[in-house]
Amino acid sequence: METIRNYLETMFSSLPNTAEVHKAKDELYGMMEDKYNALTGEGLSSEEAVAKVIAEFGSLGELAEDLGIQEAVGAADGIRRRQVTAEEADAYLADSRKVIRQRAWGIGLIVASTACTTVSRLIYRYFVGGGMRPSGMAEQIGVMGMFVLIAIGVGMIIMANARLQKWSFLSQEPCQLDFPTLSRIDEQYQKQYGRLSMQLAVGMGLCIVSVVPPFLFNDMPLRFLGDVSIAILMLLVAVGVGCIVSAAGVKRVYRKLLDLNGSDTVGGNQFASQKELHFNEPMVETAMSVYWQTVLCLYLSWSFLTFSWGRTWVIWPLAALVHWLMRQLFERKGGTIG
Amino acid sequence: MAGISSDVIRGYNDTMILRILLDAPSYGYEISKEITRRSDGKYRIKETTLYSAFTRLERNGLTESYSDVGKENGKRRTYYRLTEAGRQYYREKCEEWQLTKDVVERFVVDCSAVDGGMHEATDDREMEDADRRTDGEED
Repeated sequence: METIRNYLETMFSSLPNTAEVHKAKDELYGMMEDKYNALTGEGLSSEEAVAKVIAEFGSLGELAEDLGIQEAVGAADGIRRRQVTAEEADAYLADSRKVIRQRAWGIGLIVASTACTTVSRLIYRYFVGGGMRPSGMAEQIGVMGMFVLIAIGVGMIIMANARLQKWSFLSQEPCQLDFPTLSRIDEQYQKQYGRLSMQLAVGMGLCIVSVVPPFLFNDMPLRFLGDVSIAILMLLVAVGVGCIVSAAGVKRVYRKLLDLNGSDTVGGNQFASQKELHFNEPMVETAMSVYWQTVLCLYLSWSFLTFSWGRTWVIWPLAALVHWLMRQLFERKGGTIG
Repeated sequence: MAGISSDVIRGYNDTMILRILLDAPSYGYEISKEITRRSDGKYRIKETTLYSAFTRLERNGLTESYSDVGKENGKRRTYYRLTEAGRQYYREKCEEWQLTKDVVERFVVDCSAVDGGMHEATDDREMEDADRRTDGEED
């Protein structure tokens, strides 16, 4: 029965997500199930029964007129989707993971490079210059180090992007994935979802916590700690940003595969898009996709500019309220059919 | 023997389904099984053809569908029953078929005579006579 279900889901996966289409799929599945049971009851093996049921199924073209899907079932002017194989999907996932890791390191290095001048100044003051004010040389070495790190970081990002070149067709032409592969990928994604969210939270946490060391050590008598804490701030931000970039990247790659069939089709609707928040207006959708990041930025910049941490937390309950309002006004309910 | 061309039989799928529903309300697989049985396995209707016919019949008000639980295994299915309009339509289709057959036969039988295949044509005629008898019973 699994094979029959997969066959049917794959046949229907690129059809529009309407009540008629869902009803047709359910009815056809019911008939196929009855037939399969009757055939195995007559003594046919499971494989023989499946083969017979599928051979006598017919073609969806016959239903086109009844379902209003003339253009979707392979008419000449319909959308021709490129079939992505299971192997391609796996290779894309593996490639993307490498690329995302490389990109996260690259971005992390660029952020960390800002710590270079501080570090070189520290080294000069406490290990070379014996507590003297750093000379211009120390500054220059620091700046040089910074540029070297930036160059390596940028190089890594460019190389990573070049690696994804061969997969650009996934974004440029309409593609489709068969149902068994989609459900396997969805399962993988669900398994990793918790870990990825944790990684995101840790990344954001690191960015927020990074402001703590300068706070703690600012008024300390030991200037050394105060100086070190600035370097630590940069490194914490670098690691945090790296975490965020890689977790968000992996999530995006999974969502891209799961949404490949288009979220308004039967096949696309069953997976990721249903579980995500969606909004009616494209403008709102775009704005809301970076909502929490924007709030975090606002919170940090407001806090750093005013240093009134006792007051700035107000932004979070306010943001939650605004988010709730936006959902009430613009949320699109996905998969309300059936 | 070559199978029935779907183009030829298309116009009569609805009539066959209506004929089965004339006896009792039924559901998808049972109807398809019944078509195979009554045609002695000479015609197997495809699932998509059948579903397409169901939606068309219902849209035209010839059948009604309702959900019910089957007696044998308790599975919930969509059942179809004939409406009065469906009964009327079936009667019309029967008359139409008599006329169609009468006309087509005058040509097709001659064609097979050209190949010397007269006995096949007689077979056909016997089958149609049997059909006519069953049709008569219902009226």
